[in-house]
Amino acid sequence: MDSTWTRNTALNLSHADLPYLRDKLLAMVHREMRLADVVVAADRNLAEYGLDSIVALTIAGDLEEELGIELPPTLLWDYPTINDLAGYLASLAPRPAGDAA
Amino acid sequence: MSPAQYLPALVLEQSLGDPWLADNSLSYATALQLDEEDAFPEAQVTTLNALGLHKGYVPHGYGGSFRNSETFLALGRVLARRNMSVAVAYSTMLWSTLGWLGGNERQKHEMARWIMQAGSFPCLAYSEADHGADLSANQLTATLNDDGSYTLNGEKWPINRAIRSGFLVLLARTEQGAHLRNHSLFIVAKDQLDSQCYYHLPRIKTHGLKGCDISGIGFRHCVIPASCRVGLEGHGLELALRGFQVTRTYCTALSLGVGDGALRVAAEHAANRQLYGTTIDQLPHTRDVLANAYLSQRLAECLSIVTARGLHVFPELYSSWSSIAKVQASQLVDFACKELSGVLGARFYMRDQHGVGMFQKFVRDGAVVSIFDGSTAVCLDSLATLLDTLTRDGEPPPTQDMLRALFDLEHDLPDLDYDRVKIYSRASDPLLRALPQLVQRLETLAACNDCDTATLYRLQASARRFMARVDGLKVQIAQARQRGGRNSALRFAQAQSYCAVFTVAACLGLWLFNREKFGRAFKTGQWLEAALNRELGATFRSGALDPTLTDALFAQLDAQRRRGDMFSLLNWPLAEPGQREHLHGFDLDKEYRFEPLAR
Repeated sequence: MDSTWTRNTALNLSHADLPYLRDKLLAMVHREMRLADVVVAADRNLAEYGLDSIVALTIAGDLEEELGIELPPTLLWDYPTINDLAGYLASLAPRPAGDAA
Repeated sequence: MSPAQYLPALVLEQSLGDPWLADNSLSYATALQLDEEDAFPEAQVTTLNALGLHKGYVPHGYGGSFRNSETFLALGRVLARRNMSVAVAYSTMLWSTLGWLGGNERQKHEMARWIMQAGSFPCLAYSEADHGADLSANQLTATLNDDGSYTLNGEKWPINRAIRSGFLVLLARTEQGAHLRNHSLFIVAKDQLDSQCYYHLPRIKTHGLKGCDISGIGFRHCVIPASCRVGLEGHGLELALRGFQVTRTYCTALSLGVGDGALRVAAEHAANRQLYGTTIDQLPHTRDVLANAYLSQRLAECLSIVTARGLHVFPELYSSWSSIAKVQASQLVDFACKELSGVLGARFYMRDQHGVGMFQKFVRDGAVVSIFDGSTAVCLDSLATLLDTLTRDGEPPPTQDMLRALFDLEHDLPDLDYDRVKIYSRASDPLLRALPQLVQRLETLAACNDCDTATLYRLQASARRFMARVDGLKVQIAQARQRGGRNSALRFAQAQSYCAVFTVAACLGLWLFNREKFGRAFKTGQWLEAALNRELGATFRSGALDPTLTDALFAQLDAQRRRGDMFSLLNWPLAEPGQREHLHGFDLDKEYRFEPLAR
């Protein structure tokens, strides 16, 4: 396991805005899908870059580990672009006190 | 004794009579004749329908008689030991699983009616010629129309029973692009279709299962009603993967039937073949092969029983357990068959010798199990991805109640809850977590007449060594942890080893929780000692087993063969030699009242 990478890219939802999440997710997806020389567009379906059900599971698992929360195993099935994923994760971020609707 | 859940299979076995009696519908003579003619086993399927076997595929809540996966597997084993072509032709009924898993109440009741009243068979229309296991790349489309109906275009091939099916469980593309929500699942009766808009593709000639209807189906602007869609649009692949978790688990029945049939032919031949002034089962090498094949059969059986029960106890885990069950049972049996072919010598190569001719059919037919329903490679790929999760530390061990439900064959099982079959599980493996408890339980056992101090001591030492090997594998898995990319060849090998470890742990659990139930040969634990000590894998090597254990295993094999019992830890009498079939009065729903069949 590459712990350096994990530390460097560790996600923190408590101060997560969309650009931050997008950057982190892009780095992760590049790494996970071995896409070093490929430019991943944030609005394109990751399946176009080779995401299948097995890679989708691996990425969901690693996100769980990073965030310390449980995520649906079909996360990348239902949020298949970087933008979708970032939006979903941002929606999980704890809201500041007094911000409750 | 035989636990109550096996009684329907015991009765079915007796009803079908002696397979060596040519006049019986499911006889070996008929099996070989149909095979030579590439003929579909028409009369045999009708016979099984007449016996009401189709009801066994419908859950009791929908009017059928399915309650228990162990019962279901045992029935399949009775068929597969006679004629795999019949077992596989019949087995497409199992694709109704997709309806029980994903259908709404109306769809489930409708499907139950098709099966129960019309005796209608489904086929599974997933595969396409150009895409293999890469289901999300498939091209047959279902285009949504304004009125909610769908229009199908494209072909599915190769499909078991495509021609001879009444309804289809169909995966069709409902969105363009390569993503995981691009397919939806449909259950469609052929009589709902305009006959001008679909066609069948001709039967394929196959290496084994020669009588089966392996063919295809195509659609040209074929409209199907909105009510055919199962689950949400775009959720077809998810349902398909969940369905495989149930059906893969049941594939072990086919392997066990083939394993029993092939071993019986080889053992019978070895007991009667005179060479060098003795029967060849007295030759050390032959005896070693037979003993090892018997042990492989036992390992496959224990795996099959534990994973059948587990489906009721830990359904969430079947993204991994179903792969383990299918991969290891089929490989154990396939390898044993390969080695047993040497026992038959030149006769292995003959198709028409009475007796041994059946062997090559078992081998050819049995080879399909590692191919269909997700091949060994597909299953290992999926399992390889889950290895880190499965071996993760930190979760509590399973409770005693869970262990009893998993292992104790007299413990009632809850109904199979399809909603708990999840696409992937995040839990570590409860069987591995239970291993220290199981070994501890073994350490505290007292010696008895059937398992003396010396044997028990060897078992305990073997179990400790086994646990150390399991720990070693866990370390290797952790060290080879992989981020990203395809699973490496090493990862596949670890998944393979994991299947072997799981199987031996299943044997240990079954022995500990059922020692008193299956007679002396089971209780002595010699078979377990052999299982704990054999190399971790699906293969075996000559001379690797201690000769004392070889002799003990051979003696058990020989006793069961002579008595005419299934090669099983259970007491499972086969139909007597010369016994005619009696096809009336068998009823899957009946409460069979058997005296325990102790011998």
